[in-house]
Amino acid sequence: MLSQIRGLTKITVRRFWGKYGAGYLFVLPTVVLYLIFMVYPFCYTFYLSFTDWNGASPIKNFVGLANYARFFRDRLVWISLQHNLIWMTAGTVVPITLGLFLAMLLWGRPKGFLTFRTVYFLPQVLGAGILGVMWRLIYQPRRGVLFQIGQVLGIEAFRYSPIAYAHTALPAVMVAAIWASTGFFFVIMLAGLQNVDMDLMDAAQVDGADAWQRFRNVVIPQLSHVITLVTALALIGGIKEFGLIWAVTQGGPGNATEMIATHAYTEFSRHSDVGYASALTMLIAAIAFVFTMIFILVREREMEV
Amino acid sequence: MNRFLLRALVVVVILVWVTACATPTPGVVEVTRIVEQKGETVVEQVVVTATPGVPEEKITLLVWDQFGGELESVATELIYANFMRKYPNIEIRREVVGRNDLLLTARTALASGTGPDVVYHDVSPTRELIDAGLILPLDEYADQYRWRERFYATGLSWTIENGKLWGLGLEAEFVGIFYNQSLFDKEGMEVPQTISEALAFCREAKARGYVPMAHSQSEGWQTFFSFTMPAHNYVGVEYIKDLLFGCKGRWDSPEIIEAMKITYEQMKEAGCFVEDLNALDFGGAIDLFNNEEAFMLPTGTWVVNSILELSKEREVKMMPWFDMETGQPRAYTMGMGSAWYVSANTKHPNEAALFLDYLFSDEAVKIWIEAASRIPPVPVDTTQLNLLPLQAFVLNTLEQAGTGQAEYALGWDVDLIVPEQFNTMLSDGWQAVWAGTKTVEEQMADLQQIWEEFGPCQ
Amino acid sequence: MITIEQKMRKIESTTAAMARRQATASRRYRLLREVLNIIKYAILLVFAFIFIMPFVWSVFWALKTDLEIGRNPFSLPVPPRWENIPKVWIQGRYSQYLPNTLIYGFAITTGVCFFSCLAGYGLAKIAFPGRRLIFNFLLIGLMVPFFSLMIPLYTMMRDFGILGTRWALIIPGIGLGVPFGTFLMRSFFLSLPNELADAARIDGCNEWGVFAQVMLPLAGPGLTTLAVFEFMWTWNMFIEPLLFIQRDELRPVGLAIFFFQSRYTVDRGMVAAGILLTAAPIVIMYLLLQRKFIEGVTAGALK
Repeated sequence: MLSQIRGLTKITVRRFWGKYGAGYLFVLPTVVLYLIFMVYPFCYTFYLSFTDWNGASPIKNFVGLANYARFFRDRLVWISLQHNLIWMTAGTVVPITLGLFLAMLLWGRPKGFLTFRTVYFLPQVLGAGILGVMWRLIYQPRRGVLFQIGQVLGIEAFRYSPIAYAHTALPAVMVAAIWASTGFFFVIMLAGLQNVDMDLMDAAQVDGADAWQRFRNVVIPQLSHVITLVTALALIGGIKEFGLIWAVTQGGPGNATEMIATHAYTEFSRHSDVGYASALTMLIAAIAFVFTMIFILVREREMEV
Repeated sequence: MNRFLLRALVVVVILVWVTACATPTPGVVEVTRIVEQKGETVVEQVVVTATPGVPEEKITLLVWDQFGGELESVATELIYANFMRKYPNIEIRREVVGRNDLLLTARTALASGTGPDVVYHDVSPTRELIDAGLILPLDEYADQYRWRERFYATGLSWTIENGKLWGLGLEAEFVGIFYNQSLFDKEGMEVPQTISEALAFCREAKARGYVPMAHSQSEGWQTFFSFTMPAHNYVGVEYIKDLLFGCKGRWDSPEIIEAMKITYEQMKEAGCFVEDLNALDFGGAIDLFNNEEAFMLPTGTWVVNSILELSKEREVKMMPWFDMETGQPRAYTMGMGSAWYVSANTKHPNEAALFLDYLFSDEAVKIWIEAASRIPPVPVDTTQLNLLPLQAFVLNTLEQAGTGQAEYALGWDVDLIVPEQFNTMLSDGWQAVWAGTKTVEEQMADLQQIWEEFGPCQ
Repeated sequence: MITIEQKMRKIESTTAAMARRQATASRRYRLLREVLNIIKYAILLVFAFIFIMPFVWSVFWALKTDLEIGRNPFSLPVPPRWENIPKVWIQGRYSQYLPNTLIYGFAITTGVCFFSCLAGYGLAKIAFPGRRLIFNFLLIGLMVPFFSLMIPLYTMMRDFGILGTRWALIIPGIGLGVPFGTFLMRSFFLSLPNELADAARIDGCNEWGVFAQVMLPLAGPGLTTLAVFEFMWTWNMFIEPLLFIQRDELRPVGLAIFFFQSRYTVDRGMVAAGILLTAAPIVIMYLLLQRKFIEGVTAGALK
């Protein structure tokens, strides 16, 4: 009896391994790399968030949840979260909509298709550093492009540099971000549109649907996978946002463009409060995790449909 | 290793450190290095004989500095090359890193026991490195090389902590107002000396289409000076000294608030600065001054290289902040840009000290001043130097400050003394005040609160 | 995959639709369509202008001195300061840094592509238990900014003893690029039909055979996409090389910026010239690989 069970188990294990073993092997090197270079540092940072370490001292004092409790006293956290929220919303909706709009215009492969496609993607190749220099010059007081356009077209509002004032700074940086990121979404949307079934479009047209109805009922559903993908990427990017903001305004003027990531970076580098910065990082990860989970759940639901 | 042992070890370290300080052996440097080995904190006590001499085998010194700009990079390479020619057994391997990034990478590298042998680091952020035992104390070498005789005491004071010397400051600087005398003459206007004259001047200059003062605030650090200078001139150098070093007085006292209101309300209303001050960066301010769209440039002597061209064609002079009409003297605020430090983990402390000494030799100092416009806090024979009037002026003022013969009062660049959180509040807060989202009173209250929470007076 | 029948049906319905459209078109509709066409082109051109103008300005800045940029940022460079380019090359040490950047670009891109292909295929085509969990686990890697991981990574590189060598950048570079790469490749492999894989398996291939001989050749577009993205991101790396390389002769181009700035000021002309020299290879690569790149993005995006 026992030997029979043992025999069965051996066969099951071997069959299991034969059937699925390759899968684990394929994935193994990547998972190992990931564990070493992302999971371990992440866990270490998690551990640091419970200390008051300053990045230099050999002594790391355990302070329990003090850093996390500080979230509630730190008004910068709440200001940053607000900004992140605005950034995530507008920074997702606008470039995706714009990208989709431009992709729709180029759907029929009109003349100049290749050129337009290249030009719209170009901003993606630039890094945060040059984007900072670029947009600071565009918004330069007395000399910037915005100022000069305002002079030429007589727009009074453009006389003022938007990154000088609290209520216009964030929109101004977002314009820069949208300029830089629309190309990415545009390219994906364009590709996605290639696979929209033309038959359905024609059928809808014959049935008397106008352009808007065709768009809403034929194009959007067929693009739902694409839209979910880019939305998730944009949202995660939005909570993690650091490079462009730092390059243009460093979170200023007076915290008007402060994000969680810039706040964490200031604490990390300038104030040498590595413990608190690590806690803030955990906050970013937690929020991103929630969004990723939602994304995955929605996707799984769609895939089953 | 359990927590108790760890704490005990730390106590041992401190005790050893204290005893080492108490009984110095001449000619010997006792270095207590705190090293992480296999996840444990281990104390390594190394005794080094401080000999000013030439090494016998070939060694390499890793040097991290900040001199990336065109002229200064060439100047630095030249100085290093001269050193290597003089001491062929020492190879200098150089890394150039920008200031902000250097602070981060140096801290990370030194804290993990790796990194440079010699680093050109900002004075204020080095304090935590010193507290962490990552910087080599230089007192023995100071005796060997007689640095205390050569350097001005004021210059050395920036790198002295807990009575010990930790580094050698290279960039003695001070902050005031540069002005374009030729432009004043052309417009037939007088250079304002008091704050009332300044306000009147601002109104007139603005009416003529100029920007009276090219102050900038986009990066934020410029607020350190639009804060320090008026405060010094309003309440006096002694008051600030008591506040910074004596724990007497408050930042949100009515006098300092009044001084800041003059700057951020009255000068704003008189149009002294560009309206979009928070969007103007330092480069933009220099542009305004160089293009003669602005009369005055309130900043420190580090800007000299950037306005050198203008100073060749026009008469450019410098003065302290305006007389605030409270009977207090006008003061230049003094500072030290960065200093040369040696890592406590270096394998070649003697050679590093030799290198440091060379960096302040006459031939090196000549190059620093002429090519890089950096003024080391040492006496200099100006007849040997090839200087433009502006450079000569800065040099002379620093000489006078160093020898105690200054024409004006001397104050402090507070940003080098206060905790970093204070500086962040200066940057963010004054930007907010200018943008109208915060009042001067609120800002001073915030500064006082940060001073109480993070400062030395607790 | 489209079968013959489907193709026939498609042709029929298209021609029928076209006929229908012809029937309803009249001169008024044609005029309206012309006007809409013009508006469409106007919008396309406006956006093209918006997207390309800053690049044009960058070229202007690259050919001006910093003083000139300060005086008039958006005017044509007259006279064009061509010397900025050799200056970037020599003073900015591009002649040294560029080969390094290429090495890092190719090494990291190759590594990421290799590991992501393997993992993406395994997660997509082999239905082993726990694959959803592993995939979700990998996604977390997209969520954290680099500076939060930099200190433990630095200590790790120190302990491995590779600080100050090229490997200190290449190996963690691959490790950090793998989450996104796996994500992308898995999506792409999902969109490839299973029939081919099954057929190969029936023919007696083991999993590696299926992967190497059947799936991988079809992975071209997806792989190209990943390669372009990774190469682009590696090219623009800044803080990672600064932290891990620690030797001037091994630096990539992203660190040349230190030679274009001093403590308080930036030489914007040099920065712009540097950026153009930096961006040019990426743009060329993008132009050459455009078709494959778009195809790859399509398939990856759809599933």
